[in-house]
Amino acid sequence: MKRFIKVSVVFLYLALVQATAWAQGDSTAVEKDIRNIYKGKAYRAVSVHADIFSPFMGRIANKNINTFEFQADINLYDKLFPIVEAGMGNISVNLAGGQGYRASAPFVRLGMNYNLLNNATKEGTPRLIRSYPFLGVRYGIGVVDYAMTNVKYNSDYWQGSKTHDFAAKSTYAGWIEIVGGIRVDIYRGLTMGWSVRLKTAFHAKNKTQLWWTPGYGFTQGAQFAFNYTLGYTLRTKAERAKTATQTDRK
Amino acid sequence: MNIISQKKLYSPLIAAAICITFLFAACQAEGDCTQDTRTSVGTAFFQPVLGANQQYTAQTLTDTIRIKGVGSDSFINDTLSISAARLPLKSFEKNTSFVIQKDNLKADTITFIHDNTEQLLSLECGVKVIHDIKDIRFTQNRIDSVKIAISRIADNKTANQVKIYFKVE
Repeated sequence: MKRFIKVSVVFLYLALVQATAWAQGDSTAVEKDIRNIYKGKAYRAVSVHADIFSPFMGRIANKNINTFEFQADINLYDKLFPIVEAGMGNISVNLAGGQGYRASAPFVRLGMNYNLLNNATKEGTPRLIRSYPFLGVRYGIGVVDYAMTNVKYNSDYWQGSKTHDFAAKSTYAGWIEIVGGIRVDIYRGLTMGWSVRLKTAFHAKNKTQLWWTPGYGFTQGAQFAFNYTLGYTLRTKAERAKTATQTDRK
Repeated sequence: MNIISQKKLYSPLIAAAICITFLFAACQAEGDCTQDTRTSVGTAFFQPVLGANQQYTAQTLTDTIRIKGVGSDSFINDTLSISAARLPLKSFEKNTSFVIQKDNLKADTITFIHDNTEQLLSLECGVKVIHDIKDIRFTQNRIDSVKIAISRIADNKTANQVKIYFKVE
């Protein structure tokens, strides 16, 4: 929770600095500094990516974790990128103490990325943006089937031993993510990117019974994750024309 | 920005991001339980002491008090001089009895009647059983009275939950 508050404060500070920079303009129209414009057609491109690192990320946490995910986002004004991420994950593990845990679920995250570069020059003309750093937020949702087995009771003096099993189907779990990363255009729409994310505010009905949740990870505390994606960006005809014009000028 | 300069810029950033994420992922993987999952009744012993005003007042007793669970082979306390003890209640039954013998005098049997509520802490820590004491029955060979100060037994450290008062010797 403390990490979430710190990152949120930094994000809000950056947003405030940028908002202040926008607001601090000379009232004279001629000298006004336009750094971002939202004119013309909003829709510029659609991107689809596969996260090629998330399977390794799962294995780093526990060798019994399998997970993969895809992303799709649309480009609005080269500034805002509504995004959907979806994937599947499962785990089947027996701990040293004899406890077992199995879970599997699809998950989806809905959110928005914000391009940290200005989409216009100082004179107010659009900039050609193909690669950019971004900050984003997500809300993650999972509907989990899980089973916890051989969970021990503690009764040292009386030396009784008993275990308990917990299980449920279609348990709703939600969480919040803060994401930062970079998207790079490699060649003619082929794009790659990476991001780091802080996952926090995990909530579910039987939270203590969800030891590991697909899309989130181990549920005791906040989680960090790294993504590396490869994919393709399909731009509109007008956007592709911009690229060709830029190349001609060179 | 061309691809070569992008790589120069992004490569150290990627390496730093991966290292940081590995560090936190390794720290957050499964581990041993670090919580104390036991629960027990914090029990204190008192005896009447005659004051200057010829009135008896209850004062903390420190004496050799042997305590053993009925049905168990091991002593909770055998030869040490104590003024308090922690008595573990049964997780799978609603009655728990102990034999208490003060200073080699005639022993008493004390029976806790309690409800049990299971609380899952985590996969690693298992289930903790919280007890709610409903009643205490006891023989009165040396015990004068028993008072329930706190009926909910939820940890292994709260003191003075039950107070046992011995008779005047």
